[in-house]
Amino acid sequence: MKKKWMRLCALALGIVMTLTGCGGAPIVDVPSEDAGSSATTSSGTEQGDASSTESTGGEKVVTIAIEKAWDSMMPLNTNNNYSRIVYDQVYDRLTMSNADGTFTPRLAESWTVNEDSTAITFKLVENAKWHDGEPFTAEDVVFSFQMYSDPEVEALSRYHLQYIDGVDASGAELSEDSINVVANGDYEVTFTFKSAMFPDTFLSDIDTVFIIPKHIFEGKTAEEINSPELWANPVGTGPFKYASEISGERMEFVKNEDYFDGPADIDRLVVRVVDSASLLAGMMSGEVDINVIGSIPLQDWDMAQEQENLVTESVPTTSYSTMIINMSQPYMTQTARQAFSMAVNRQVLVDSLLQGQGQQIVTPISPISPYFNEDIQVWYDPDKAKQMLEEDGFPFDEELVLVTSSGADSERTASLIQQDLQKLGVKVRIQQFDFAALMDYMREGDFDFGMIGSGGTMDPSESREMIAPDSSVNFAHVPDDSLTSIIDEANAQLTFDARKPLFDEYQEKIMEISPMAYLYTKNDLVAYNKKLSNVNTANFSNLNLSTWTWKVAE
Amino acid sequence: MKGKYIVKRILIAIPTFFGITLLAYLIMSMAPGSPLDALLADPRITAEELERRSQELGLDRPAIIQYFTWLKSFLMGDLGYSYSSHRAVMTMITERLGVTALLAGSALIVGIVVALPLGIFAASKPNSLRDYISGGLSFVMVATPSFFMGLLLIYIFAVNLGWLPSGGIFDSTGVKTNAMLLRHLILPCIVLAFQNIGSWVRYMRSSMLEVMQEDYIMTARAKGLHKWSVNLKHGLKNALIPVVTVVGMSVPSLVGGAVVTEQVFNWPGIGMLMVTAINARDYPVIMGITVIIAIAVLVVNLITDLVYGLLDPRISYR
Repeated sequence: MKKKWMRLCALALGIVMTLTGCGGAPIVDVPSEDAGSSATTSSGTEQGDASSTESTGGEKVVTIAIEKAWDSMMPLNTNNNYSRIVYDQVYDRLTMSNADGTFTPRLAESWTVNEDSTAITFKLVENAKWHDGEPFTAEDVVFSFQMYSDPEVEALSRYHLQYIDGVDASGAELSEDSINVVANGDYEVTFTFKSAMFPDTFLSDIDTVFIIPKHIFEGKTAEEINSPELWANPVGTGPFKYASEISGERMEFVKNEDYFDGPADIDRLVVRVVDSASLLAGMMSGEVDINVIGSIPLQDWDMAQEQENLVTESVPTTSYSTMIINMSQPYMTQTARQAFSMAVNRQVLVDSLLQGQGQQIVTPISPISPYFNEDIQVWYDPDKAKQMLEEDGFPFDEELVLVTSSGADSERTASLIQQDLQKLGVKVRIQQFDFAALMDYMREGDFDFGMIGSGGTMDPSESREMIAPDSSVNFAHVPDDSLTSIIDEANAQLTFDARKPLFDEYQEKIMEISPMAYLYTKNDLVAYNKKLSNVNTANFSNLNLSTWTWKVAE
Repeated sequence: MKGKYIVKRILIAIPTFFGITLLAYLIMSMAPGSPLDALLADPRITAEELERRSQELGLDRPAIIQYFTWLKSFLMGDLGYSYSSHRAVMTMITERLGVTALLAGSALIVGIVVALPLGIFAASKPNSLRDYISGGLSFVMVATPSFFMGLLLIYIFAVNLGWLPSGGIFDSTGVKTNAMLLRHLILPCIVLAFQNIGSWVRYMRSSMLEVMQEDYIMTARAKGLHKWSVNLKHGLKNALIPVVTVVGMSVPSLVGGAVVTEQVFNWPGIGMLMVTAINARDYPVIMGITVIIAIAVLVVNLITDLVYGLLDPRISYR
């Protein structure tokens, strides 16, 4: 009897022990940095001195928080900005975008555009080296673009190459290495455009194309390139060297002493995935030093500002929320659409929902953009809206459907809008979906309004996809090109001064047609530990962190 | 006898398992939103690229065909590759299994160690102060959402007292030790154990009370045996049967992860992987996790049934 009892206990304990692996072996399988380096060696390269800075004494460690984990480690095969934050530490790009619409040189020291604006020539830095010691040259740039344009290679964001001569509209090469990127000597490279274009549009489009080492990828088959092994221990020219990863939790980097722009002040950089709910707690306890994508939650913002150890900055961005109006519904006439846009009290959305950390908008072009039309006024007139709907013969007994993604901000925005429309006597039912289901529903479904957010970019034509008749995200069901033709005409102009009046016209026209009610832009709420300085948070939303220029106090 | 029973159970488990995978696949593909929809987070992605992906991943074919394609490679031991990270699903799961099992396993042990004695203690004197206190406590434990509990503990122990870390599994120093891991384990483990303790205490108590009414307990007491000797030797073993079922039901979380707790504490386990995979409609990863959980449930059910026999020889296997 007693023996059986003992046996039972032993069994139970045994199961738990096996499952938790408490047998003295390492509890969690964490790739140590040495293991990382041996893996790299097996793929034919050397690790460099990644593990030589092991000592913790006096090391300057900075932990940056991102809200969600990276996915693919192949730089052009993602649509995920969390991944790009990680690439940006290891790899370099030619230039980076700034919040004011200018560009910061990176691997490209300077650039010139030819007379008819059909080609751009980058002069490259001469002292850059790959992490394995090989010198960086123009051949690496040429190879990167050739590899990314190979249709056999998986590259989700290949469209970034679309303006270059020799590729199709999706960015894929027309024939073997037909992409028109040519090296002139070791440190100069020329890109030829399909046709004359505004160079800034090109620069902002290729600013997420990371340059990869030719000597590692040359001669590899598409299949080898598509498998994750070659990318797992990345060798770049970037300010930091890859050290180790815990999948879905963190990636660690050590300083690249030989970085061409001078070594970073940070010895060890840790990129950690931190849920927004515990983000501020992590900062208050000093475990997290800065949030780079993913704001401090609004409800924590007051508390964040009170912290002695934190610097807080509310940064205006181009990212905006908008309410799509389904133009394919017969009662959604232009008058009705204008009336609905006019009925939304954006002041309340910004003041109470965003607690002032945002701006009201009525067009997709953010007030911080140089292309913003100063003459545009935010409209709010519920009485006039109601009158317009009545005169238009709007079916007030119809219950309208507002679809939105789940998420605190969109849910609250949706219910505030529901109240605004209630005041006109319009009944609205809210339906919530997760992102993928929302896309599916808006494409197929019978809906009236759809809440959606956009990251926005400094490129004023960013909104084109959402209103282009043939686009896969034309959820407003815009039937003709009356809007896109203005954008295309503007994009064909080669100077800011020629483009500005056309984008001004675009903003007036989009208010008139009102395929959506643009609602507000949201500020990035960034906090960082006081030990950091020289941090330019304004550029974060352009994926420009410039981590190697940050200064760390002891 | 018992060997035959086990074989029979395993034979039943096999069709059950394939039924689960078929249902999971069909429900997953019928749910609104496809892997291609998830890619529209980047509105500039070209129609050509979407078309290419759709063909490459076989998404243009009917769901049932997709299922059999999946099944074929599964039977050959291949769980496929993630749509978004392009890594082998098996690798993605195994590298997180240890982390998840560590959290869920420690929470299970803490739960058992705390809940069972507390339940027995409460049952030893029904309607006494000790019974009310344990009852009240367990209600609070069951009723507190783990999300709130997690944030509360983070606020107290990580922010105010600074004793424990607020999340993650290691510090940022670059050195990674088991001691550091255990420090990071304490808070999520408590949160996860908390809810189980609440309900297990109630089960243990009521089951114990029921058994104490039985004639053989009366007999044992009448023979003059000490109260606690009767309680533990004769009462507890019989009272454990329903509790084993309940505890057994929570064992699959050892591989399935605890979504909310993992999220709040940034614990990189299977639960977080599952959430990411569902949001991205990453079918191979969703199926991989489903398979692992299904196997765990089937195995644990078998083990629980066998444990009944150890606890009560009257239960026979046929």
